[in-house]
This record gives sequence, structure tokens and C-alpha cells, in this order.
Amino acid sequence: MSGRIPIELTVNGRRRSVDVLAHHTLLEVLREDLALTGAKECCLVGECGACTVIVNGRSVDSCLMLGVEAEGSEVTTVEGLALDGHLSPVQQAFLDSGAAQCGFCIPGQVVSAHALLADVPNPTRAQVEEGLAGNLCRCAGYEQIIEAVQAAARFGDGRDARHAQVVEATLGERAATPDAEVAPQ
Amino acid sequence: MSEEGVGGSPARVGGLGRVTGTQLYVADMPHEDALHVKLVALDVAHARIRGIDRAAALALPGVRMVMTADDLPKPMPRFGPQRKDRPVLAVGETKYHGEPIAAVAAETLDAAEAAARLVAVDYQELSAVHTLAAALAPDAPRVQDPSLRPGDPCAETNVLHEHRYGWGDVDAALTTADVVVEGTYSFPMVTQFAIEPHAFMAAPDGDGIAVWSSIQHPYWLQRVIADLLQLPLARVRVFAPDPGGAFGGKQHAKYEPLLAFMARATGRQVRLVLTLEETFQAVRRGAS
Amino acid sequence: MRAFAYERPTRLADAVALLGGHGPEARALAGGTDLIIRLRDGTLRPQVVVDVKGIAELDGDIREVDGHVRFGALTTMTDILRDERVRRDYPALAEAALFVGSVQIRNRATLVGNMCNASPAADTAPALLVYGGRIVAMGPNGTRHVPLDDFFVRSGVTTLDRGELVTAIELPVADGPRGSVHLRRTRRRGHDLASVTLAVSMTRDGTTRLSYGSVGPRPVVVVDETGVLADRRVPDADKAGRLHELFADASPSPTSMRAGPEYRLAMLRVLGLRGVTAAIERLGAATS
Repeated sequence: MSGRIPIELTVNGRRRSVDVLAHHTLLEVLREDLALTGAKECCLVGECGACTVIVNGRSVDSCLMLGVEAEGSEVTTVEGLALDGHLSPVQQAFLDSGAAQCGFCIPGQVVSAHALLADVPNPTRAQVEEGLAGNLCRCAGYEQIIEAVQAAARFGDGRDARHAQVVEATLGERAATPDAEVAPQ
Repeated sequence: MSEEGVGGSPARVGGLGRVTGTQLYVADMPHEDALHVKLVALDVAHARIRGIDRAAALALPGVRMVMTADDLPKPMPRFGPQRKDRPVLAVGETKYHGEPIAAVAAETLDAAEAAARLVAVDYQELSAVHTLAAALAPDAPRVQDPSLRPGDPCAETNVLHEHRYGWGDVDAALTTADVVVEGTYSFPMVTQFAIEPHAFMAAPDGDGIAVWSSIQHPYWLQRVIADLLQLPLARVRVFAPDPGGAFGGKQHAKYEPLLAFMARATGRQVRLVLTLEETFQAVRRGAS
Repeated sequence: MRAFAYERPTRLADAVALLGGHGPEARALAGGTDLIIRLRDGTLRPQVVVDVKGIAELDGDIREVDGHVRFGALTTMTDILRDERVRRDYPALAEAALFVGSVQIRNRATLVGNMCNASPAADTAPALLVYGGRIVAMGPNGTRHVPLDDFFVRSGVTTLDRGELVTAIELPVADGPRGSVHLRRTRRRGHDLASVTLAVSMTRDGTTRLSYGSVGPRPVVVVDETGVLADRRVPDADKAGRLHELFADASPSPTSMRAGPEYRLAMLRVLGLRGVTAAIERLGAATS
């Protein structure tokens, strides 16, 4: 297509090649070109955090990055957090503490929590609040979200049999291979 | 982790989808063949529409339709939970900032956005009311046409409803009371601001219509669409996935009727995802 | 957003040529946390976006060079608040950087970008000003150093020439103990733009440098050489008088959204006293 720029990046551990338009944000590239709809569109001005993903080890608002800027980068989205069929400690903790109400903010919250705990493995409550300050929850589930992050910190690195299996039958093909091949549009 | 019954700790329905990002909200649903819709609105509160020039917009590659009131039945079909007064598209006048006067459908969102910018509207800005006092003034411009409010004692005013509650003999009490407490209480404009902006799709479905919406009342929506498009209920399918919050702001139809007409006119699936700013404009103060 | 051409030069000379050649039709992209917003809302419509993150001569390092601590053009707010030397020797800057947006914003937003954007509310500007910062710019006519105080003109406007790119910001290494602090007022706790910002830096000779932002079209530096503000024995009322004189040129916009002019001036005085008190304490700790 005219005007498209080919980029290569690693998304959730897999090399991806995609031809993007310069003026499309990373959020649009993830959602439209790569069919990874976990990151959400909401404010599109970097205030709500619903679009949060991890780029080269740092959490960012993907609505404020152009897709082309991610050339050569390692990107992790919510779809890449569960490994080998097991939820991450953060994901499990969010389930256990009932942190998800409508659920729309949750991908961003979970990704931000991952980034926080990678940096600060045993955060104080204030550190959790500051670490997730860029993620709004309009259902006001903040208490359960903070609890979930602190509980996940106590889990440590371990993913064990207690963690719910990502059940292929329940979620279908999309979850079993969350980053499945998709034909570019 | 699925102990049932009192004292148990069953897994939350839909919890897994939410923490893995596989939960599909309307804007996440596949839409490979859908036309993308962008609304066209004026940057004023109240205007008389003198003409809409769509030529430049239609000339852009990928643009399939620019719908205006002219493409809709006459008189303009209207809908609404209490009164059927909300037009599918503004006709003759816009009544609030952000009221759409046209809608573009194109093969890509970029084309729809570019075309929306090219729709040229000849309009005359009219005086509007921006405060309660202005709205109540005797010479205030009337927001709603009285012909749309048959039998309504307030039809000639900007008052929608007036409720008076009282009991006892107030005049007598005033003369004997030790203390009289009087007050006028007001609150600012509010909006639900659910974190998911409203999103809708519509598509021809056999000889009927299918509609996807973040709506809270899918059966009500089914009736509204059936009524507006003059279809039997059995020819209207509504898909209402869990919304990303609603808080009342997604109870009732907004742009689903518009999309249903556009789907019918283009013969294609059409998709509209509002920006957050458009969501604030689509859901009026205290409205649903 | 509207389409544009995207360039990612690998050499500074090429970037300068691009920016010089296109002039106002080109915009530099570093962190993107301001630019992307304006591209999306259409307030900026460049033909070309020049991504500076691939330029070999630019870096995001913080290191000492010739009696200055140099912050490379690509240094982010996160880099700043993690740097030991900054936290120890330029605490007002670290405190200011922590106030910028959220973790996600700080991971991308650059210090240099914050300055080039020239918002009067820029959190880091007052700190850089009290520390005597200067920018290093490279353009078609070579390299020059501009004191930060001469860099800001008014909201959104700097003294950068066409084609010039800021390659670093430098702060002189302190030649003695110093007590400094950054304070601000916002509408709410957490992620918000500042209503008033203030940085204070005090040295042993009794000189106090203050810089305030968001109270006028650009951040302003004032210096007190009387020693009044730095003197523990002087009562607050007398300090308030001196602050009143120093802040005489503060001119908050009457139409500003976040806070009215009277509030900003009142809070500036409050922050002034708090800042001066905190600076005295920190200077005391640094000299003991």
C-alpha cells in the first residue's frame, strides 16, 4: 500500500513484520494491524492508561507513540502476560481480589502492575498508588486493584499449580495462542 | 477454584477474559469488511442548517456515502425513551453542541476522517441558552419544537418537567416558625464517563438488520430499531456484549438508528466508535 | 490524525537540514507526549515529523562535562528521577520530574522536549532556572549555548532559530552547599497539570533564587540578594513582604482554565514561604 513503512518488532516474544502508516499510533497498529485488542482506546491523550503496554521494559501509553517508533522494539501487551497456559501472579491476583468490574481498564492496570513489580518487587501502598496513578478505573475498583497488586507482590515470581489455567476451551483459539497469525488488513 | 454455594469462592464469570485481555467489547469485535463511520458536527450550540455540500467528501477515494437528513424518511424519524423527539440526524437546526448533521461511511477510518473534514456546511449560528436563568427567561429561544410535545403544558417553554412537592399549610407555618430554612440548590453538569467510549455496528442481516451496541437495554433497542426501520421485531437482531462501564449513560439508543439506516443504504456492515469527546456530547446531562 | 511524512535521520547534520529546510512544516519528535496529542487534535499539522531518537550524536545520558552536569536530548523524566547525582545535587529537578504525568508519561517524556514545548506550567522549568541551566543548540550556523532564562519567550515560543535542535541541557556543578526544593499546586492529588509551580535554591552567602511557573506566559526567575529570605531569624511576615516585592511581575492569565488569577497569586505567596522554609532546612542539612 502506498505510504506504508515496513517495521519489524517483537510482540509478546514473537517477531512480527507489519507495514504501517506513519500517522498511526502504536495502539492502532496493535489493535488493527496485529489484532491485539487487549490494549484499549479511551482518552487518546495519555491520561487514562487504558492503552498501556510495555516497550523495551518500560510501561508507556501506546496512544502517544507512533507505530513506526516501535521499530526494533520489544513490546509486551496484556495478551503476552500469561505463559505456558498459566496466568501471571498479577493476573491471578486480579481475579482473586475481584479487581475487574466492567474490565475495560484491566488490561492497562495489569500491564502497569507488571511493570511496577519488575521495578519494585515489594511496593508499599504509596508506591502502588504512584505506580498505577496513570491508570484510571471509572468503576472505582481502586481498592481491589491495589490489593491485587500487593497480593501479587507476595506471590513473588512463582507461577504454580494454584494459578488458573488459561483454558483453551473457555477462551477459544484467541487465548491459547493469543498472538496468533493474522492477515494484515 | 470453583466452589459453589454460600461460603464458596466461585470464579467470577468473565473474569478470565478480563485479565487476559480476550474479553471483546464492541470496538474489539472483528470488522474486516465494515465501513468506518465518522460523524460531522458543528462547533456551535445552535444553528440553522442552510445547506450541506458533500461533493468534496464524496470525491475522496474509499468514501461510500455521506448521509444527511435528506437521505432519511420525511418527516425525520425520531426516538427517545420518554418522548420520541431525538432525530436520527439533525434536520433544519442543530440543538446542542456536537449534534451530528451528517455521517460519512468509508473503507478506512482515515478516509472517513478526511472526508468528514471536507463536508462543507452552510449554517447560521442562532442564539442559544447557556445558563439556567437564560433558559427560563420569557424571551428565551425555545430548544424544542412545541409540535414535538403534544399535550405537554410546558411545550412553549424550555422546562421539560416541573415537580412540586409540598404538604401542610406553609403560609401558616411561616408565621409561627422559630426558624425558616430556605435554599436554592444546584449541581453542575455531569456525565457518566464510562471508560469505554460508546461503540456501535450495524449490518444488513437477511431481510432485516443486525445491530451491535454497548447498550444496557438491548430489547428496548430492538424495539426502537424495528420501529424506526419499520421492521418486525423478528427481523432485528441486537448483540450487546458487556459494556466497559455504563452507569446509565448507555441505557438508550444514540447512534444505532443512524447506523441501521446507513447499513441499509450501503448494503454493508458499518462501524462507529465514538471518541471520548464525542461520548461526552452524545450523552446529555443527567440523560441516558 | 492527519497523515505526514516520517523521517528518522541518523546524523545530526541531516536532522538540522530537514528542520531547516522545512521550517514550520516540520516538527521534531522525541518523547511524543506533547506532539502526538497536538497531531491528533489538529493544532499542529506538519508535513514532516522528524524522529530524533535515531540520531547518533544524541543520547539520554546524564554526565559531568566541563563543570556542568549535562542531560542529553533523549533523557527522559524517568532517567532523571532515578539518577543518584540528580537526587543528591539537584533535588528540585528530581522532585519536579516526579510530578510530570504518570509513570507511562515519564518513561517517554524528555527533559529537553519539556523545555522546547515551552508551556508556562512545565514542571521542570523552574528547577532548571534556579540551577542556572543553559541549553545547547545545534543549527545551520553551528552550536550555541543559550541561558534558559533567555530561551523562553511565552507559551509555546522559544528563541530557537529555524532548523535548530536542542542537543542537551546543562546545569553548572554547584560550587558549594545549597538548599533547594520544588513545590506545586494542582487541582487534585495525582496526575494533573500544575496550577502554580515554584522552585527555590538557597546558598550559604544568603542568596536565594526563586522561579515560578504557570503564573504568566513563561516561567520567571527572581533573585533575592538581601539575605532576608535565607535568614532563620526573620519572621514570616517580613519574608512575605520581600516575596511580595519579588513576585510583583507575576501576571496570571485571567482566562486560564485550571485556576483563577487571584488563587494563583495567593498560592504563589504560600508556596514562596513554604519553599523558603524548606530551602533553609535543606541548606542547614547540607552544611552540617
